[in-house]
Amino acid sequence: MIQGLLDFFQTTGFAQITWQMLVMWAVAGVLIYLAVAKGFEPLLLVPIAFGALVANLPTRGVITVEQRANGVTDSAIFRIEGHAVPARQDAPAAAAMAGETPQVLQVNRVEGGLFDFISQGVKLELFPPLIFLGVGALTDFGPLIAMPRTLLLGAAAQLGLFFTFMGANLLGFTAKQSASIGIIGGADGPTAIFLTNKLAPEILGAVAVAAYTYMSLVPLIQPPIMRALTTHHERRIRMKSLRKVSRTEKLLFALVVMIVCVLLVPDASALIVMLMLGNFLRECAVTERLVKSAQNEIINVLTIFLGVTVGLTMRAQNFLAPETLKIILLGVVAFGISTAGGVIVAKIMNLLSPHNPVNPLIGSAGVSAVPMAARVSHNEGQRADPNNYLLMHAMGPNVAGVIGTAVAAGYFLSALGH
Amino acid sequence: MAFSPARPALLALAEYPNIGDSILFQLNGLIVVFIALGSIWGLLELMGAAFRLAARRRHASAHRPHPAAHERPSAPAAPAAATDATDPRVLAVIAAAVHLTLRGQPHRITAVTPEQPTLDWAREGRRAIFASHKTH
Repeated sequence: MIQGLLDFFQTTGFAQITWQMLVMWAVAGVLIYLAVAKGFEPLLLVPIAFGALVANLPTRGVITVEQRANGVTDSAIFRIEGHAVPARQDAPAAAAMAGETPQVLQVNRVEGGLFDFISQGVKLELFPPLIFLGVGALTDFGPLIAMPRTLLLGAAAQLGLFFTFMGANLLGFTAKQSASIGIIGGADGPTAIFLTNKLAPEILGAVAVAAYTYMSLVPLIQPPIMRALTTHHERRIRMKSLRKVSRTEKLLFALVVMIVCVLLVPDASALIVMLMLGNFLRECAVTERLVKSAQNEIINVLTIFLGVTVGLTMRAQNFLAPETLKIILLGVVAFGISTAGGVIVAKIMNLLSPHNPVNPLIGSAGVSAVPMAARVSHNEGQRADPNNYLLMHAMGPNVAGVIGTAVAAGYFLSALGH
Repeated sequence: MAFSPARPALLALAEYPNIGDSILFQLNGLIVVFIALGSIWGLLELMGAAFRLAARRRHASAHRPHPAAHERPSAPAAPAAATDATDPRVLAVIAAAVHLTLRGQPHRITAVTPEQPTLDWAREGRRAIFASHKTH
């Protein structure tokens, strides 16, 4: 009887627990603590942490993981069983004429776990562009259209991406991996996942976790850099009120941005097209039902799937490696330099245009953590002058940062993705 | 339409590029980003100028005295519709609610507009997304 119980024990999950799994449980616990107790990006960190916990449990029927011959772990694989049949009834005759037999696969059975299928949304690059649809539907580009020069701040805040590319290269990462690490500096989770999945899927878990963790830590990371680079006088600068932007302008904006970006970086088309589609739906005011879906149901469902899928990539075998620590360190460097880039270019703009100055604090909002980075600029501005309202001004560079990061991702893909 | 350009030699970066190539690659990337966003800036300035000009023209024509206006007997002005939003008591309640919600933080109410019930669900999504980020 005891032997029977021991045999049964071998079939349970307890027998498969390793110390690496326990470490990952602690990592998942920290993420859950940050999300639930501290309120840092709970919409993303909760699904990611939950996925990370599940990835390090001996589950069955959730996700399939296989070890390749070269030691790389591949996950989210499903099996298709079937057999080849001639494509048409007259195939044998046609085959004889053409010298080959055209065949199609007749599927008999598809086998895989729940997340083997859901993870295809990341593998096939579906989730990030669809999330961008929701982001576009949620974003008001009015402040950017009213003050288009803040686009420069969105561009300047991409400095960290490119600088970190070199840093990652020097630390031994390949060019593709370096680009994926650099994109963390853009503080744009969907874009980071989109790019990393294309260029370096082996580090997707670490990049996604670093990107979303730093996005949640924007209020802690950015203010010291903003204060160090600005004077008290600069932080008190009050900006002119923004003009009212018409609906026609907003509609034209969506089309203009889409055309310019797609022409310049076709590799970022999926992101830009969906972002602007979402925004066009929002501004055209005749597709209310679609906007409601994009702003709520679509983005909420995808956020759950994307978060858990990313979390599921955090298997101990992949995550507990020195490279992960390097990625997390490089991520914060990228983020810091991007923040500094935006603030410094805002100061340069003031030197060139002293009669219509911008408050340099809005430069840091050029990283595309919408709307958190803009709110951090606003809060910092109010520390210096409680009656200074920077939020709408900061939204300009903030949404420009979304476009800038997508363009930068397009550049990386054009250069490295083929 | 799918577009597959030939890959230029400048973009052919080695897997482990040397410092020079790496710096060149970064500069090119920054230039591409600045060109993209700079082009949009330029187009938006042009677009904004055209819209401002059109608005000025509309404003000017609206304020031009109509030749027949003097001959027509002036109609009695309709009394302003008293909506809930313009009721001073409602405004006082809103101001008090804002003050309480912000826990006494400095604030300025710039507009009070009537709620559009058809947009509630969309607005709830937006509110939830914005409220999910902690900034202090």
